[in-house]
Amino acid sequence: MKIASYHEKGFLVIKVEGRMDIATSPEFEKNCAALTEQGNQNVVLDFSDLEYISSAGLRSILAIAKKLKSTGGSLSLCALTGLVKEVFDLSGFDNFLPIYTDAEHALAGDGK
Amino acid sequence: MFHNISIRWRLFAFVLAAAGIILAVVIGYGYLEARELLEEELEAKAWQLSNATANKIVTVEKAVAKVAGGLAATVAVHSGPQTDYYPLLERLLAETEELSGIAIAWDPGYRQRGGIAVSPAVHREGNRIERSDLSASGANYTVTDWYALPRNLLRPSWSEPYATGSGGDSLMVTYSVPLSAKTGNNSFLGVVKCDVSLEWLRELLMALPLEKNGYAFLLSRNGTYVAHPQNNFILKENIFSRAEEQDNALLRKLGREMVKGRSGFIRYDSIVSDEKGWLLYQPIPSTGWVLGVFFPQEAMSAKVAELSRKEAAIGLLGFLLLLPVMLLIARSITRPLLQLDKAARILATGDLDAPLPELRGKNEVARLADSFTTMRDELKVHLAMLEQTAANRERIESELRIARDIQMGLVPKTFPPFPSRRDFELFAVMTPARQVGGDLYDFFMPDDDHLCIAIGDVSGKGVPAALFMAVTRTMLRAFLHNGDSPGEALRHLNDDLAQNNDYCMFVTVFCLVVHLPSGTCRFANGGHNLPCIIRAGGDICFLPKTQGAALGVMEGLQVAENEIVLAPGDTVFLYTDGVTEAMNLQGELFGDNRMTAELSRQRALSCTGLLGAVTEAVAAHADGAEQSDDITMVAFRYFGQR
Repeated sequence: MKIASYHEKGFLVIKVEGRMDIATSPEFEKNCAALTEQGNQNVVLDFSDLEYISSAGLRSILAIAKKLKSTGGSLSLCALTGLVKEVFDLSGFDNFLPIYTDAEHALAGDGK
Repeated sequence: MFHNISIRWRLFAFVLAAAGIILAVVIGYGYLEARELLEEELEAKAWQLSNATANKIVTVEKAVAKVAGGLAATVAVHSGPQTDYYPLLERLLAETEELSGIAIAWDPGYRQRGGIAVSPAVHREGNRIERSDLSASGANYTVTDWYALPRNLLRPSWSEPYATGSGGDSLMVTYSVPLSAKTGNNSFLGVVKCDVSLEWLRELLMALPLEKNGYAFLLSRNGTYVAHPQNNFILKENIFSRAEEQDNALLRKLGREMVKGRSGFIRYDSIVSDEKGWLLYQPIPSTGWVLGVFFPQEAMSAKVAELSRKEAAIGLLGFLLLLPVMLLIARSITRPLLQLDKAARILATGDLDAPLPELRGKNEVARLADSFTTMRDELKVHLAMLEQTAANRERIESELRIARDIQMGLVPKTFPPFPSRRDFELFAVMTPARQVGGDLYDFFMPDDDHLCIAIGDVSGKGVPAALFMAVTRTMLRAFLHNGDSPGEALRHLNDDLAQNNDYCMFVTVFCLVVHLPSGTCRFANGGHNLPCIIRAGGDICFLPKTQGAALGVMEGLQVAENEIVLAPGDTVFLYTDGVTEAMNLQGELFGDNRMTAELSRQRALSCTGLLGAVTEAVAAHADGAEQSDDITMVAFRYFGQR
């Protein structure tokens, strides 16, 4: 798993590449925590290059969302593809988190 | 090649070899240096000796010249025909031990003119002094060297050495001074002559402190041997005749140098014994003779060799002393190492309490021993910690095992579960991954007409997942028992789980309630994989999607319900993502397609057979890759009223 991040329009965009499962999600959670602790409250997760996500990965995302919410921030997802999109559909996670088609829409906050 | 030799012997051999080489170099250098020094010393000594000898000869010559000169002066003053010179001559001879005879040889003409009766002469005869008359003997002395030279040159001169005596074995040389009248044209009156026996010269040369085979010789001013250890050379040979005879160009050259009055110290092979050595030659000023001294090399070489032998002996002695010292040093170094080695071997067998060698001091080996002791102590502590850790892990693992056993105990495992029922068939398997997982399934009949089936998957793994799973299973069963519909049951479950869910865990649950008499199925989905339905005719499809999401995330979640009707022979297949997401070593997922294909192919099998077939297909796909998630499947086949 590779993690890259950049700032745009007041958002912190975190791009995740590879697989997010029981083995990699603790690392993902730790990295995100480090990034958000620097004061980045509005976060967009760009999953365009994410190949696979397991329930452990979903849990990590939930944990981050909850943390951000408690400090007045927000978390949204964008660019879900293939298996990842399927997992989100199945688990109904689109009920809990705003999901956008791509980063542009996520930053604009519309076009769900 | 040295690596197989013990340190002790290596140290020993190397140090001794080095000492040996140093010794050899010192001795060699000492030999050369000593030779050079001795050569220099020899030359200095040679000059000293030669100079002293020359001086002695000169002293004698001077004494002789003085006597002769004094006598000549006296005769010139007192010259009178009647003067009796015998007493004066006798006195002078007695006083001057170097002389063997003194004479006044009058010029024959002068003698006749002056009427002089005798030419007085005295000489030693043993201890006595005898008188004689040169004129009386009848011999014509005017042709002799000692007379002719001063007569013609009108100055004192030394004769060439000549043999005299009865056997010609006595060697003599004569110093003669011309006598001149004070006035008159024909002023030459005669000659005063002093005879010197060369016996003392031979003795002087013989007495020189020379090494064995060393010798001294004297040449006259034209190169004739005057004194030489080879007696037969004397007066009979000269250096040039020797050179001719031996065809010795060097000797000829040397002879020329000598006769020219030069001096030198050169390497020289003795013409007597062919021995190598040095020759010193120098002229004796007044007579023009040449003194030569031969110093044989052997004597000096012997000295140098003796010196070297002594050095070698001392060196060897030191070497021998070094042997035991080196052995002791080498042993003192290796003994503690050997002790450590022994201790290490014992330690390696696991006996950490074996005594270690106690080494005093702070040298390298002692430090090694210290490190060794430290290592042993650390090892002990480490081992103790490891034991503790192992015990802890054992405890945790046993607790985890118990947790899993409890978890497994929470799902019904008795098959067939309802042996009296002929209207349906039910089978379930749960294959946990290595870690404690969070899958669950459950089924029960709240009444005779209804069968509840649920399958779920808790996010994550381990004890938290197992606990969450246990709570989920218990609550779900309670809600369904209370008569909740599947949708209501999941809504209630969600609300209860979402409260105080700080760890953000969630569970996906699919819940199905079958009305057995009619075959009507009501179902609700909390974010779980959609089950498949395999129709009796062979069609296979997923159950329709209904509103809902993973449970425990957000309170007040809406969960919708739907229903289908089962015909006899229809099969519902419920599973967790451990099936579809089983991976092989290449990272390929088992996937929906492989799963439905397998289900379709094996649909004729009983529920037990079907699950067995899918399990095998998943295992075949994984092809040895480690199972990362629980694999849980439930198969339900409806037969209807029979």
